[in-house]
Amino acid sequence: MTFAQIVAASIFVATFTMILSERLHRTIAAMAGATIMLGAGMVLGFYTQQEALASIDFNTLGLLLGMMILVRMLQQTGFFRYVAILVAKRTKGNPLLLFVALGTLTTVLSMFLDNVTTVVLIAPVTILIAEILGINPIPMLMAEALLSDTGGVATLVGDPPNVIIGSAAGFSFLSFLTHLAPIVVVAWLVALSVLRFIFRRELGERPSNVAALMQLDAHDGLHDRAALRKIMITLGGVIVLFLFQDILHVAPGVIALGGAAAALLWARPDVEETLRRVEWSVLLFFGALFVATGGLAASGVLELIADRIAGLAEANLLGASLLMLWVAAGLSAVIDNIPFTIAMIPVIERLGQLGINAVPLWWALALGAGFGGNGTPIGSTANVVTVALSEKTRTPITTRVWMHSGFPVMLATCLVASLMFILFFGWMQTR
Amino acid sequence: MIGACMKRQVVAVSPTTTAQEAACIVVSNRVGTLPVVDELGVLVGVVRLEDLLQVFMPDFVALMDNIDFVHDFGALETLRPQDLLEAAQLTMRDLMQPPVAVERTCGLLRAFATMAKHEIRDLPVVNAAGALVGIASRVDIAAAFLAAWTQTGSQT
Repeated sequence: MTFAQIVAASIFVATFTMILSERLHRTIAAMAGATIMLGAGMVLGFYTQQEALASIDFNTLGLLLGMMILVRMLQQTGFFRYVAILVAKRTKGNPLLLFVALGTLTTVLSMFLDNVTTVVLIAPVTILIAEILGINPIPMLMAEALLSDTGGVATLVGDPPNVIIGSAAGFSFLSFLTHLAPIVVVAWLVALSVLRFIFRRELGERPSNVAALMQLDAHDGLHDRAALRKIMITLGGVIVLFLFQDILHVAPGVIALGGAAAALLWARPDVEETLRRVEWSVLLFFGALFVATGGLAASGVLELIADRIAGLAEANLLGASLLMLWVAAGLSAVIDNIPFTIAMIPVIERLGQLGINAVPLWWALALGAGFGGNGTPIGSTANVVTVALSEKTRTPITTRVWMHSGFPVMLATCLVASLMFILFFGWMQTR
Repeated sequence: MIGACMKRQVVAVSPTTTAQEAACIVVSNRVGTLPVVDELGVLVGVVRLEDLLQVFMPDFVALMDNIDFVHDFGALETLRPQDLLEAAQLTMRDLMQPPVAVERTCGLLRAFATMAKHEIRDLPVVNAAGALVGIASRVDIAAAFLAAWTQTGSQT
């Protein structure tokens, strides 16, 4: 290793440590790390301002920003509350059906929309319904938190690691659907079955006051019906364009931002309010991480790592992919999966340059980063907010509850993913 | 001045008064605010009806920005045994909020604005030592203020 590489690696490790220690807000830590990395790179000559700008993946940022704007607009119409009540009323208060219905609703919504938003808006309705029925909300809340992360793995826009991977590897929306969605369907079924078994006692409770549940008026929960229709049509259009992305050759970031522009133009919400709700700190965090990781890549450190593991990947691609899946899962369970994914990008890209088929490694990374987050209460932001919400109620989700339900689900879904990976390895080697 | 319109007979409680005793006081005296005073009569806190009912309030009320679509609280309308058990453990010290109070010489409009800003319905009045000397409701203060207006109105 050269002196420049040692400096770059030290700055990178220090930045990561600060981000993961959570003693400093992660965006501030990442911005400081990016600035120091660029400064050191300019002084030592391994990283230029142009390279730093080029290392920011604007397609990822555009896709996230576009989808965030669409979700915020959707949120302001009361849509999430509306569908949750509609779905809950169809179950007529049966706890098992409610558990399956609300869990599945979360899976489907988080395939296309932000996981955290989905959980933040569905969980309070769940607590309301459980309180009215006099049943324990924990099985439903756990299903929602766990299945939002699981569902997010199925599509290009489902969760941030997929957005980053899709952009770096050039995988289309359709290839995510054809490669990961089938695994997610099986994982969804397995996760529900595991939770159904763990919470068999709670789910056998007899609901009281079903009449009060049926009295809930979904339409009263809806603020703006006309805007909802316009946003849903725009969102549908965006998803259709995603599906034809291969033919159209339009980047997903452009489609999402175009969709956001169309929805803003058509539905005319209070634009200041909508934009205030966009998570700018997340976007800034991504940008800064790209710059910091770009510096590490420019110094050649990530190439060194890639060259080391190239031998293993060449000798046993399936083994390397499974290793990637489980390492990604294990790390995502305890740390934020976004910095890890961003750091893995240049490594896998380098493996591709060395003539190794990197495609299965990308898929393994997406599966591990997505399913791994379910392992602990801090594994994903959706988990953190679900636990925080439940702590304001009479039935808090404790770490003990999580380790008895979330952790087994993480193991089961990762096992399912590994098995399907082995069975369909030929398919997983294609994009 | 608020000193002229306040009630001098104040139903006050001590920090060790239990929630159930407080409930009895609210029911028999029909008051909506319970000033909490220490053994020297100094105002140390205020318990509002919201604080007293907090234990019985469903969790979702605090979590949702809109509950207009909930037409029926169902079984939540009745006192739940587990909530009663929890409430039995509570004293005024657990429920009370930091007091907002004014002195006897406080103007009526300032008193009313203070209540509006702090979202309270009754305003305790204290002396220079901080001891509780009276309490005025929104209606007491507003009626005293508006009385001046009706008098000027009759003169012109």
